[in-house]
Amino acid sequence: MANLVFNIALGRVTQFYINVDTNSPAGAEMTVGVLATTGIETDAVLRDTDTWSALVAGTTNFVTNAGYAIKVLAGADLTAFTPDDVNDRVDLDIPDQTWTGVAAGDGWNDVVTGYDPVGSQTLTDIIPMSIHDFVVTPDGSDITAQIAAAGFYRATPV
Amino acid sequence: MPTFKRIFDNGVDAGVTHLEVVEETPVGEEWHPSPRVIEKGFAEGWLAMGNGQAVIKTADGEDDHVYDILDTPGVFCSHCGLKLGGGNEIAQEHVATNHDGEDSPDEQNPAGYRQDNFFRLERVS
Repeated sequence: MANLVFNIALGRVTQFYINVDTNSPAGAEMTVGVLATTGIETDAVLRDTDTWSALVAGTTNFVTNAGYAIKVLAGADLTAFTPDDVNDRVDLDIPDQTWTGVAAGDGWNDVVTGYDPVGSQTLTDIIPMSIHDFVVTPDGSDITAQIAAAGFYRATPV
Repeated sequence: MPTFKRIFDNGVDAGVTHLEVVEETPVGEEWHPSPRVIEKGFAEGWLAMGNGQAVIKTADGEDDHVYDILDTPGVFCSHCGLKLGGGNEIAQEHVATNHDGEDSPDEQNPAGYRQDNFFRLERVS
């Protein structure tokens, strides 16, 4: 018998996702934002941040293009499957995210997901969950972040 | 909103027979599955669509979960709700022609139109 983590206990992001999916605590939401290319800090710096406020406390910033806004996902937008006990993993999916009519300005560098336990959409409340490379130069057209077939997050045993 | 457990044949990857609904969408509330979820449901055989409804197959002897299809993925005007043709040029022209100078009522879509990349379903039974 090896040391192991049970499939039902894989990943804190999974729990955040379930919290939003089941609206427990009430008002819990998932947020999706975009970080600008200019001033972006290293992975080593960004991964240590505990809130979205801390994420942009240094030189890293959210983009400010006209047409951009933080996306907010509630329970109705999520579909949770219990752990995939055949493959010993948890895959989490969200719909593709489209920002419409995004004007030129900041270059886009990364999509960042967050968990807002109180639904305040206040940066100090939002816990960063994942960052995904997303290099785009806005030109006034729509921009879609296409989520991978397996979803935006996969939890597996180490 | 819902949480599903996919029930496999004999516990191996030989196919999903149905879904066990762990957390269900209350009747009257919406669910917004992505096309990937819909495709997975078709491929695995636990979802059917037709006559304006989506039906989730649950265990034998239990009632299936039925949803009305309120909308399919597409581009919508945030001002008047009109479903617009594909492409941002058509949407931007619609907003400029019909809602010029008006602030978008949708904070998440300041351009005045949105693209829904999901099916909008409402649980009916």
